[in-house]
Amino acid sequence: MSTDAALLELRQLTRRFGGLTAVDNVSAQVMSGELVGLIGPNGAGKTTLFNLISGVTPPTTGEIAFEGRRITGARPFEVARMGVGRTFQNLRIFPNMTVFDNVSVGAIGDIALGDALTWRGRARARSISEVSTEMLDKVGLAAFAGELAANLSYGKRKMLEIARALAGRPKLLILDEPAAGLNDTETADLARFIQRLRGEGLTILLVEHDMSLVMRVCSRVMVLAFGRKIADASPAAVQSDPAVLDAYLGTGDE
Amino acid sequence: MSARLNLVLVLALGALLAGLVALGSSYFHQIAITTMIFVILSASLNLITGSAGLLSLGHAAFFGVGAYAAALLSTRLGWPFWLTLPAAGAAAAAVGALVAVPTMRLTSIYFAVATLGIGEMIYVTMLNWVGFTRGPMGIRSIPGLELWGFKGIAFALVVTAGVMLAVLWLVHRLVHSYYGNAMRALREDDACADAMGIDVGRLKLQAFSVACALAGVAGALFAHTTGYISPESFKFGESILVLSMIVVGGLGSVYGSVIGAVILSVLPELLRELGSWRMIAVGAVLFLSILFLPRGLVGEVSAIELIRRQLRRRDRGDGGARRVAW
Repeated sequence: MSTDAALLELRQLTRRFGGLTAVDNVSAQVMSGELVGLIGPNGAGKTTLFNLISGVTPPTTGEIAFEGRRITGARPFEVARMGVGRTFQNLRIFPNMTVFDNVSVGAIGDIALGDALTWRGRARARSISEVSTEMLDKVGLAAFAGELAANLSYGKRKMLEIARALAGRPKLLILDEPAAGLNDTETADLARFIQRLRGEGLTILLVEHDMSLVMRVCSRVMVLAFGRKIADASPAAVQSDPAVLDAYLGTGDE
Repeated sequence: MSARLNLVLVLALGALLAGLVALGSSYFHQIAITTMIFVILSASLNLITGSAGLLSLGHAAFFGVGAYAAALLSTRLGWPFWLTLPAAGAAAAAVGALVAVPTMRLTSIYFAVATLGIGEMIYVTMLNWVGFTRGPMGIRSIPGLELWGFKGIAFALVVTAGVMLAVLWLVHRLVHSYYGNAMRALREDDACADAMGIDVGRLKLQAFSVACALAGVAGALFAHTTGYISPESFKFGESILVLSMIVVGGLGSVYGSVIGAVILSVLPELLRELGSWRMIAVGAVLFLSILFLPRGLVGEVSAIELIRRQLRRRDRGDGGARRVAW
């Protein structure tokens, strides 16, 4: 593996919660422009690893680098501003705000009180509106811009979350179980959408519990089990890997 | 709401003011001034509680800090009101920021309890630091609003109205900008706002300081227009009264702040004949509004929902949501 073009690099990350080692010595890389899947059975440590990357939880040991810069210990908002956009496993939209305002929050970034009150705020406001409009168009929610987010259907809320993450113009987009709760048609639409984003050059890390979406769109799949990375290969290779099958189905000799 | 509606409202208010000045009943003038001071208080509280979702139970204390700053600066140092007003705002903002730094790490209901405690601390300080604040005796003979020979209650009315409009403009500007969206995101889901790139700690500190500064300015107006202040005016009950105003008017809405403040300031005056029973009427208005108008008259979030969310926030399952905001 080359180390020069890695957009995201995890070096020997470990996170312990008391006696439980949720993430155990995981090293991984995500190259610029890649669409990587991260899968694993329930309790494998996917969400913990996700929280380590996005700055929600600091690692016990190990390092995280984004674009070659060390971001270990950075707070979530700092990680976000550096260019890591994310969605949430259990939808986290702002229900009492309009769809448009929801998306615009992703584009705000720095909050300078002085700017908001003076003429400088106008230029900021305009660029925030432009990005928000663009992203709403992109996910196909432009017609709902003025609607309260709480009134959207589940599938549309999922797309709203993605639009909000995209509004921050991320270099790396981490999607946390985007297909959960979607029906087959919606999942197929989502797969097409994710591939389109990748076509535009966005690097995507897709965290999924369910294999089907990951196998369909990812170029490389990492598998976590009991906090450890047990596989890191092409979808086809991962699917026939005995260690992965053991993790998902259990071994006969236990 | 549209710009035309804004214009109509400002004109209506101007006409009302002109009418009051022309009619010249000092009783009405005093009620109008008190109402406008409460409009400033409710608009500033609505900024942090309604828009940013930080339930503050100590707003009256910052009102008091401003009032005492203005009273002391004008009686002891002879500062004119156009200096004491900004100074009172700065003093309240400074105290607010000082208080904010340790409490900002608290989320939800813990923050509310902290502001309650701090409000009481400030009140007790006013009451017991007799050498500085004259304690329960209060401060007397605070000079009225006076500039270029204009003075008297009609002038005070005009100045108060001017300051109130400036405050409303400022709050309106903040709430309807991207800054307002950042605050609403904080109210809706602080951990998520954090993950979207918003410096939640800094935003809380800023919003809280601004709200305290505006409450301080209201305090200065109060000190100069009544001429006498004592700690009694800045007790917990006053904080709750202001909170009731924004709940009745509508959380997160500038119009709601104005309407709520007007209703709950004027109603007790209209019901003066009922004697002490009139406070029950005030309570009934709050109760009925929560029951039948959960979002207040024009609010964007319901009071019950806000409180419920504060209590629930800790139990939610996603990673850092259970932890402090930064």
